[in-house]
Amino acid sequence: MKKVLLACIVPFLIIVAAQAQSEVEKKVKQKIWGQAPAEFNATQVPEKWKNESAVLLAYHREYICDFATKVGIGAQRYYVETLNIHFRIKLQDKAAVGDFSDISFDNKSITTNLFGRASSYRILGIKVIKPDGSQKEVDLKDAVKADAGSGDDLKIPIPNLAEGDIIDYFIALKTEGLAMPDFGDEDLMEAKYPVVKQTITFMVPHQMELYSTSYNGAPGFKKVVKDNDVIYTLQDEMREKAPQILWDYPYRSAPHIRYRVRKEDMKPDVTKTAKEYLNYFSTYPTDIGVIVDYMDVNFKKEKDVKKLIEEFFYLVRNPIYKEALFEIKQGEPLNSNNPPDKFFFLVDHFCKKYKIPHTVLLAPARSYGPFEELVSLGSCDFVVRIDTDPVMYIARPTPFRLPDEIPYSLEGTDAFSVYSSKGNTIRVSKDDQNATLTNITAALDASDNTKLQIKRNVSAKGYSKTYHQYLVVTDFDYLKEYDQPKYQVERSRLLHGLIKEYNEEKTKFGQRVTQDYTARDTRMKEELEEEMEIKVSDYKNLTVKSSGMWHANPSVEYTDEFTAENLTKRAGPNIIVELGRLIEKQTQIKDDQKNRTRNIYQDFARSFDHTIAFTIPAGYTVEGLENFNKKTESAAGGFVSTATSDGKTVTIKIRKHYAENYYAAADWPKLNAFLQAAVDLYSAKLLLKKA
Amino acid sequence: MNNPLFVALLLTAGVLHGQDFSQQAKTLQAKYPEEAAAVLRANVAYVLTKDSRVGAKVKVTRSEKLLSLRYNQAIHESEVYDGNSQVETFTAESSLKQRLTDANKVCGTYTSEGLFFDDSKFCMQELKLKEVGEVWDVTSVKKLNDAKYLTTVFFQEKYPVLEKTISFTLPQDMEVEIRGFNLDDFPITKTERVADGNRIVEYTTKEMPGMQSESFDRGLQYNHPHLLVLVKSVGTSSQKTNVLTSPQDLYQWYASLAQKLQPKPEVYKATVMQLIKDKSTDEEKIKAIYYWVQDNIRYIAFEDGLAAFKPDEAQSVFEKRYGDCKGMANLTKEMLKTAGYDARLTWIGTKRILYDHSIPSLAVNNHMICTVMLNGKKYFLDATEKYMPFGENAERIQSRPVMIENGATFIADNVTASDKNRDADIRTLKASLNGDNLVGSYAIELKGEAKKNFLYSYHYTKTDRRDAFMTDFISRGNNNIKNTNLKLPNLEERSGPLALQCDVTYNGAVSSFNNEYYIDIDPSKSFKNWAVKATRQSDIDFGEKIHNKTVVELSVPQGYAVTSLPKNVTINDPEFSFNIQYSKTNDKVVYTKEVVVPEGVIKKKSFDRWNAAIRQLVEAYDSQIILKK
Repeated sequence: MKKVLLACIVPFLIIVAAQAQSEVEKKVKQKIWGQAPAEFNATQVPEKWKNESAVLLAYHREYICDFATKVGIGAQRYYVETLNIHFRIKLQDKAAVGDFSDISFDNKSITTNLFGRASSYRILGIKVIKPDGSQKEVDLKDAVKADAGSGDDLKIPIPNLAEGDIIDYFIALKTEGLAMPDFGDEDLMEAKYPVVKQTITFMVPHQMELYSTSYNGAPGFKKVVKDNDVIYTLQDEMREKAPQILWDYPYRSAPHIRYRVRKEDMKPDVTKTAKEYLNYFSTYPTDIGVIVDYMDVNFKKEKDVKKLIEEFFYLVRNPIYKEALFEIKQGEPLNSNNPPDKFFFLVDHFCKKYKIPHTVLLAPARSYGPFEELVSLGSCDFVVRIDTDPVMYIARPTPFRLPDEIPYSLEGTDAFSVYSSKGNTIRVSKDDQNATLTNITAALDASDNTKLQIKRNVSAKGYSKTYHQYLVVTDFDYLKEYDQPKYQVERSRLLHGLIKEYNEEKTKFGQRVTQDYTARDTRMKEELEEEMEIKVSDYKNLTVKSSGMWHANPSVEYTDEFTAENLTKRAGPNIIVELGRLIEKQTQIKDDQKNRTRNIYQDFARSFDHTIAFTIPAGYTVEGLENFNKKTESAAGGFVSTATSDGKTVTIKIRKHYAENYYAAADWPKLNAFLQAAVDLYSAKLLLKKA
Repeated sequence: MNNPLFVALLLTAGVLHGQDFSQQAKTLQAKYPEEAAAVLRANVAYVLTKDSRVGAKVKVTRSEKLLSLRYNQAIHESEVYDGNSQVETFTAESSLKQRLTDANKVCGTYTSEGLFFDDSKFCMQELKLKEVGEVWDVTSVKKLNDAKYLTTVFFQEKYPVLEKTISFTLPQDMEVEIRGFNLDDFPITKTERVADGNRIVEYTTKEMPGMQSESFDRGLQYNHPHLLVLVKSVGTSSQKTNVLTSPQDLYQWYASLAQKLQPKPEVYKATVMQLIKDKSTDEEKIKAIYYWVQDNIRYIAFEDGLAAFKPDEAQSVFEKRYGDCKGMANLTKEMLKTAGYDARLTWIGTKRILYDHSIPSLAVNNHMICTVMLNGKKYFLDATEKYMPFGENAERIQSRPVMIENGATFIADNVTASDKNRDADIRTLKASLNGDNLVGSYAIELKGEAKKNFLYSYHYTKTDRRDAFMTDFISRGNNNIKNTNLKLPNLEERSGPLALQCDVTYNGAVSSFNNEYYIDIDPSKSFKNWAVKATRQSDIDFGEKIHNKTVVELSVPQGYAVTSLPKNVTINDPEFSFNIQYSKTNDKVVYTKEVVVPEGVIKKKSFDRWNAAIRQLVEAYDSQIILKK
């Protein structure tokens, strides 16, 4: 139940329920259950959904905004907003009954004004309808205190609930405010279960308007004027459940609506809002004193813009300065407590101070589409372009981000600047800029030839490196990377305290580093066992050669050693070695996903190169090299592998690459082709034949 | 300074004062690299006092000195309580001046699978470790309103313990027996003395590893050192109050709770009559009612206070359609009584409980079922088990002693054990070569617990995900095995074995090199990942008797010769047996593998033998048949 609620109403408020049957509740229940649209009488599931776990027979989301006047010291106009979300779900199997078996919720809150009328409330109502049509409301006073620490106050089991029953429940929220509502959102038509009929209604005073657009086959709103109100209604029928598909951005590919509710004469224009945001930059007062102090001491005569920008970025990424500038505590350096928007004000001021040509950009996320389709700026982020030749980008500093690295979510999008909405396309990285290179040497264990001794050297760059950095770099390692004399300059009492704190943190993380390294070894071992489907013993000697957090060494690189216990098979006197598994599990497209109509959205283009050098043991010859020769290439990417032998060593070179971050659905067969080649290589075997 | 005691005290004080906790922490970090903290010293004092209402009550004072082995980590200390006990104080203070008062503790329900203990709650304090070497003093005081609720006391803690004392202060006229379990393998000493008119029993221990949570564990009582406190009576013979002196006392208390029930058959009578109206034999009628409760009552534990021991009313469970084991047992009983049968509540400890009914303690039972008497025979009905056939018993209650209600006394008996061959998973593949693959027809037969577990998982999987569930079940998670033409039998039928058939393709089972074909014959490499770590603390309890058999009949194509067959493997151990046999005829190779764990349990002391056997099993799995063209 809770999962469904969350899935359906994430943008709205927390669900809160009533324990007592107040007058307000009675009225709300009478309205929602008593005057529900006709589809809330449905009991039968369409034939094609008989094998679904549960089906939403009816689903209604209703937003009502109205004026009210209250008399206090003087008369004051209020906007009263009501949101009713109503579900009617048929449970068709035991698993669905289990899903709705008990629910947790916050305690009720009903407030009343001076005249005894509820001015705001949050009410939950649940009833169960049996197949014979009888129905019973769940008495929420039977709820008990939920588990400690669960975040919810109460939980209640739903009594007398069985396969074939319908659960009909609603959440009603009412609030008041002085400002005219102005909000926008995106809503997917597909839900966890198929929906027979869903309705979304907005009823607003004529002074307000709903602006909406439908995408990917979602229906639109119909508008009806009634007295002083305007009612917008969207109806959608026979909607399949949300599919679970690989590499999908639902807000680009799935049926959905985007809307904005606001004052009637203010057609939403995100461009305008974006420009207002950007204009703000020139006026926002920001103190860059600590940054200037640092630059004065270390780089007073520096003229190279690239150098200045890099040093600025590393400084602001530094836990000491993140605390000084943004009050982000130093105790969790690898946590993604990223700096707030203030960071961009600092960049702007810094560039102005050092006369660095730059443009502040606001860019929309790829997963939500271009500006002209947005109803809010919630998915956008700033990025500063340094207008040198070539240009550099400065993005919000995450712990491992480098200067001139932008979030992949913004790649290829058309950004806005205060000057222009054109010509600001964010660059897109190529597959080899996000490369992972793995060199492996493997040999049979001299004392037990069922085992394979393996040494690896792994390096990764671009967007591919973050995964590896979080695997191998500990908090202590990270703090130690910043243990450089230039960051220890104390030009103020503030810095004195923060530098002292940094050194204390480093010492304390140093105290636990043995344990963190033990945990890291365990993590690496488990990762290998999962990805190669092997049993690993004796994992050792993990050495991080580069953390990949400085532009001088922009790749993360590490080496390690381990024993793989089950990569060989006995075959009489011969040995079969499953060398293919060393490239780790490959993405396998399930049969039901082989045909695809939705376009393919990957986070970024990328490549994976493996070189495997296998020592042929004395007294054996090799057969089956041809199993490791594969070639499937197209414009979409490819998988190529070759195997050679000089009699002592078998060398296998493997390359897999995704050329783009986006493919049209028509390209799906091309991806499938090289993905299958990779899956085939994963199972490829080599025979060691006893001479 | 002539007083040796005074000298000793001074020395102790000096050692404590000058103790280098950072250095000690470093040593302990190396010794316990995965632990966040260690308990330097713990004292748990149980003080029992007389009580005119219930005989005796208990005050438990715990004080613990906890050494941080981590920086920047939050750990949680907890105190469990229930409707019969209260946590009066629970505080903590660290050497870095961090203080947690009673106001900081968070208390709430503790959701546990332990069937009787579903009203357990816990209070929790979050300790933020700010430095390696930081020392926390954690103290708590808990009161038990009635001493019979004091049962099992464990020596181990969540974290490794360097030193620990558990003491019991007992009035001399209070009859209390303290039984030790699994003490021999640990450095535990016991002393007993008299002080201030009380009998003081004290246990001390040192160097205890932290208690681990492990999958397929057997129940804490089997492997972990602990004490079972039996508060029997208070007072001298002239004024003696029995607390729990005998199993009969225990039964009387259970029965007193059951007697408070007020069944209202009118609520469920119509359903009972509907269920049995077309049934002609007693067995059919009982079965109809038993299966109805299994199918229609959800297991939800939602109780407070005494409800941990008192069943919910039958009519309440019937109307709500949910309940815990006691509620389901009581509803089964009352529905059967309404149908005219002699049905009774039955208290039982599942296989997770080490103790039997000779021990007068609340700890001996953690479950309730219903027993129906029919033609001089007892049938044990556990409606919390879904898809359990009438006349059979779940592995977890088989052979366990039961207390069956019988008016003022109880009937002692044991749940019928099933035949050792009842549980089985038998898979037969008739395979032939097809390129790199093996293809053929696959038959799977499930019996007993294996069948019941399959039916439960199948029916509680979402309908639209059942195909994926079946694929996973048939392939045992091996992505290279695909099935088609699956034929399922009637999956509502509880009794008898379950047989299903399909066609399978085992991709990549054949590797060919220069006209030689290497066959990976077994599509079901069960138990290959079952080697256990040396640090495992608990016996393995598979929850069912294991009888796992795989037969593959491989057709040798014309023109091919079998040039090599792997060695047969035969391992017979009292706790398990592995048997792999290859046989060859003119056009067939038959592979037969059987893995048997007759009791479903591998004891800790057998782990070395078990691991050696698993190594041999894996080696056999990694051995290939060779055909030559």
